Amino acid sequence: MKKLILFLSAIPLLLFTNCTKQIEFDAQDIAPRIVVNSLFTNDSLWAANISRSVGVLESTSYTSINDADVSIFDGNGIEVTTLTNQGDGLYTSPTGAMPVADELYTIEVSAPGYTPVSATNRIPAAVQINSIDTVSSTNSDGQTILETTINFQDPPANANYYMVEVLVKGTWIDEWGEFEEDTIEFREPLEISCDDVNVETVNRFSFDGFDNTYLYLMLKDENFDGEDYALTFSVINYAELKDLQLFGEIRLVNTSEAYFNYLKSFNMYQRASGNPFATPVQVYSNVENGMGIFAGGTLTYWDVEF
Amino acid sequence: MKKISIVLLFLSCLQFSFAQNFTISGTVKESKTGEPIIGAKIYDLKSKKGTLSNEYGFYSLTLPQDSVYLRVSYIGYTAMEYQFDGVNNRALSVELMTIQELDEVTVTAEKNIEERTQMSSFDVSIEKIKALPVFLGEKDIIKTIQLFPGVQSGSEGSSGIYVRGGGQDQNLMLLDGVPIYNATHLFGFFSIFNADAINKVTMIKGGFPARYGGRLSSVLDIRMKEGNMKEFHGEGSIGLISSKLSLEGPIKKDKTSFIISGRRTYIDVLARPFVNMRNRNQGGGKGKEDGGGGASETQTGGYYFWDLNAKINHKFSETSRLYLSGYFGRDRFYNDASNSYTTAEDTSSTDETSSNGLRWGNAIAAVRWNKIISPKLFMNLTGTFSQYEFTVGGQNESTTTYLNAPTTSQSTAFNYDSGIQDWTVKADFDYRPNPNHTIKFGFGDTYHTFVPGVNQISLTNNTSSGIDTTFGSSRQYGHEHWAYFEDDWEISARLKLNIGVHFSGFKANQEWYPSVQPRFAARYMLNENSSLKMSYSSMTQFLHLLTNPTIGLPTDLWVPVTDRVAPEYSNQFALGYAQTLSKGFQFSVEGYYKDMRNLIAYKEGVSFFGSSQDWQDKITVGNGNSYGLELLVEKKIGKTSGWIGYTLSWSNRQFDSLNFGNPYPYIYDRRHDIGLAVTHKFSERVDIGIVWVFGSGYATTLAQQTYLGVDGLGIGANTPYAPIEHIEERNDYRMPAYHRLDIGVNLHKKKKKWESTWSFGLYNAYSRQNAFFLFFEEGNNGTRTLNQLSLFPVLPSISYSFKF
Repeated sequence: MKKLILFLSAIPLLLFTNCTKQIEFDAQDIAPRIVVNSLFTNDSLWAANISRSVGVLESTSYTSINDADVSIFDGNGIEVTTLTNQGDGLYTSPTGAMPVADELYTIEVSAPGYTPVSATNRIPAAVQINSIDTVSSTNSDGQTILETTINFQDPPANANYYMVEVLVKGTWIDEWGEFEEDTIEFREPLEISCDDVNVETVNRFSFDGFDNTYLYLMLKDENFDGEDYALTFSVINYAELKDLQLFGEIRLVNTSEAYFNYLKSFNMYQRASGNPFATPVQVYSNVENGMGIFAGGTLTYWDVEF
Repeated sequence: MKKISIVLLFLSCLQFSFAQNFTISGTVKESKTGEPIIGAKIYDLKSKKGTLSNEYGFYSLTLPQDSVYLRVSYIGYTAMEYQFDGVNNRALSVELMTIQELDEVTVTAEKNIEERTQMSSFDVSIEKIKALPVFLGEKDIIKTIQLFPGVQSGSEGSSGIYVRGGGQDQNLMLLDGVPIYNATHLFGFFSIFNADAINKVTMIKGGFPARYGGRLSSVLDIRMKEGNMKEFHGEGSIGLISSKLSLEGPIKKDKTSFIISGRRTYIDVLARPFVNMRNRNQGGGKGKEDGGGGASETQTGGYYFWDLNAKINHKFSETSRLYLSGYFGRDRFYNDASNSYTTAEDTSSTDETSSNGLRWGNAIAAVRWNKIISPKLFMNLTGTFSQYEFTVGGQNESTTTYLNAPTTSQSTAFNYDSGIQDWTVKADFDYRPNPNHTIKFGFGDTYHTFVPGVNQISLTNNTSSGIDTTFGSSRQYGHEHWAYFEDDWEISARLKLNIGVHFSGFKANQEWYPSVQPRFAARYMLNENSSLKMSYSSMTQFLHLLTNPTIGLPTDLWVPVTDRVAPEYSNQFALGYAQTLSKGFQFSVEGYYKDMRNLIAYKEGVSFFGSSQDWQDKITVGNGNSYGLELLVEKKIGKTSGWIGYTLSWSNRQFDSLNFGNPYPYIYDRRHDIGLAVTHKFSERVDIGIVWVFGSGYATTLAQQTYLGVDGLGIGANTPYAPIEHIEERNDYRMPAYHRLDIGVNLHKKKKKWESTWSFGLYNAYSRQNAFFLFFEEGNNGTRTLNQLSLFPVLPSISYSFKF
């Protein structure tokens, strides 16, 4: 009788079993496509990394395309430079051509066996930093911070997109002989804390007791178009920097909308990655028929001494 | 005040335009039980004028002074006829008797489909719901409604509904006029409505009469039974996963009656032997100790839901009646564990207990007073309470006793609460000045309290100061108020209109959102058996539902409009044709177009679970539209009855911050949908039911390629690369088509005072593996495949039901 009860008890439990099975992937187009990654600034040489995408069912790893034709054209369709392959899919300009702010550029990439791709973008004119004020202070938790206010004039009319970061510069001695050079120059972003309402929060994280920490700030001028804008933030590990007497720089990047969109969506993508409860994220791409990003920004530097 | 005066003047005009008239009024009831018959047809064969009884069975028919030949009829009941001279007003309450077997010749149906002004609606009979095969033997109103055109079912096994491209939050589900906020048990697999306690089910998908408001896409109006006024009766059933029992009868014959109906699942009870066996195998429950240290552990856990419907109605007089009704239901997952152990040297012993669980459910209550103020004016005053709450929490306690040190103890607790609570008062009037006008008007106010996610954490111990903190979104409050006026106006024998307007407003904090929503429906008889219909409805919704787009979790959160999030609006146009065919067949075809504004959706990358972020920061606002064509062929009478419905539809969404601003298909965009439901009665003892559904695949988002993209760590030349899964378009992949066949057989046995039915069923008879969701999986050899998870293979069911 006891066994019968156990058997009867098991029936409804068995009903809630589930099963999985493989099904045919009815994809419209999973042929590999050309991927273009080219971030350009007013002080960089033309360069692009060309690779191919991998269909979601492919078992191959990511591979570079080393036999591509890569050309940059200006807004009038005149070729500015042809990029040549340096290996591992890295293409650079042999003429030393550099992007110019406010010029429209198009990159065209073709390679045997792939649909040609193109992308168009323009980096905006530089935005000058009017002033930077720094003051060392101690927060409520007793941590030493460097309160920094960067003041700049936002150009009127056009939508402007900014990226602000604080970099520490220095040299590092290769005691272990891992590199060819004995001393290595480094330029690393510092953690900064910011409560400005115009700053995007997609790349925010918690660090060392600070909830609003960033490696760089992203903001658009929706709420201060054409105004003199003061952005305040704190360098949060200032105590260590001060003791080491390091130098650094504050960079204000006036980015193109495309780069801003890419950066924002990429950060959202990274944050959601691996979270089964998160909604899917589409990473922005301006490459027609392909993937990747062809965009950039115009940099303005301000040196600081910690 | 000016507006009220205009309305009164208008009503007076209608009154005086038929000066030489008299009025017949009363109620239509079921003879055996005293239950009101909703939608019974009261028709004067001489003047060819008629009306329908309202949701309380009340009717009023004003006719020119003359002799009358009145016929009162409703499907499944023997029609009653009355002949008298019409001079003075007359009260006439009618009791209709059921007929045992529906016969096409003798039975007069309810108002034919082509005669009704209301389009885009259907009624579902409780008998049909009980006769059709169902999931695990649980008779389910919502799952039956899903078989009609225009109503999508959502994911496999779900009791959610998606009507004409709308979201599941856009359905106004009313139980005795009280909104229900979460109409499902067990993550959406069963609906909360217990068919044994239900009298009438009406679904409206468009052409909404002005008396309804507050949601964009549908109204599901469910009326509970009132309780047998004459005799004590009961019914119940014993099924695989639950049992239920309903009792009803007079408290005082023909004066006061009650009905109470309860249901509880016993998955947890059935699983208990297995849990106990596991505990015994692990040495639990004995407090095992040995020289080398010992441990004992016991665990119990399970899931159950229960619900209870109750109603009392009291008749003060033929013109005055009071109702008290309520619904209470709870789902609960729980896991309790205790653990004791000692160290090897016996220097300390620890006792730990933990209790974790989820609880959610609705509680609603209503008190209403019906009053027939005059033969032409019926009033219903209502006060209601509706609450939905969800709690997930856990508690852990630990006590350690040391041989040479003071005892330590620690307790931690976590709780997350969310929900919504409404208090409502409303007044509804039914005024029938003459046979050409049926006027309804009313007003009301709901006070909402929203609890959009509150977290509580506490930590106490006997060695240091503890923590007791509460955080999360704060409670929000709002008043939703409304007034309406509608007139079902028969302009001529061919042309009938239903025109009205619904005013509503929502006051939250300093914001007030007013809304004027015109409603219009017209019916034009082409000939005796067919008509053309059209309708326009403007709807406003002040509540939003933050929901997981794939499965109905109890964590779904109702939130109000705020100064940042505006109300949702929709406009719906529909055009249709209806015809009654021979042999009891009815045919209708409808086309519709609906646009929706200010819909909400989670932003990209936002987690819909376990975040302390304010809900307003997690959502984005956009628009949507849907359009389609619906065909329905239905046969309500005869030994073989049922329907087949087909829907061809499109449903899209457009949000500036999703899919890069491009329109994309709604997740429940389904191009083709077929629902077939047929019952056949072989004899008084045997009947069968067959259900077959087919739906083309829903839309889903799948990354179809991956690539290396520049890392977001800066703009320098040596930027690293990171793999990115490329999503070309949101919801651009189609899941496999869904289809399923259910078969059921009912064997009835009837004795003098006891009726019993054995029901045998097969859900998903040919064991179609329908996709619940899709995922990629990497095999041992590095190859990746697309896989689907299916929930339910063929599921047999058996249940025994009885009636006395």
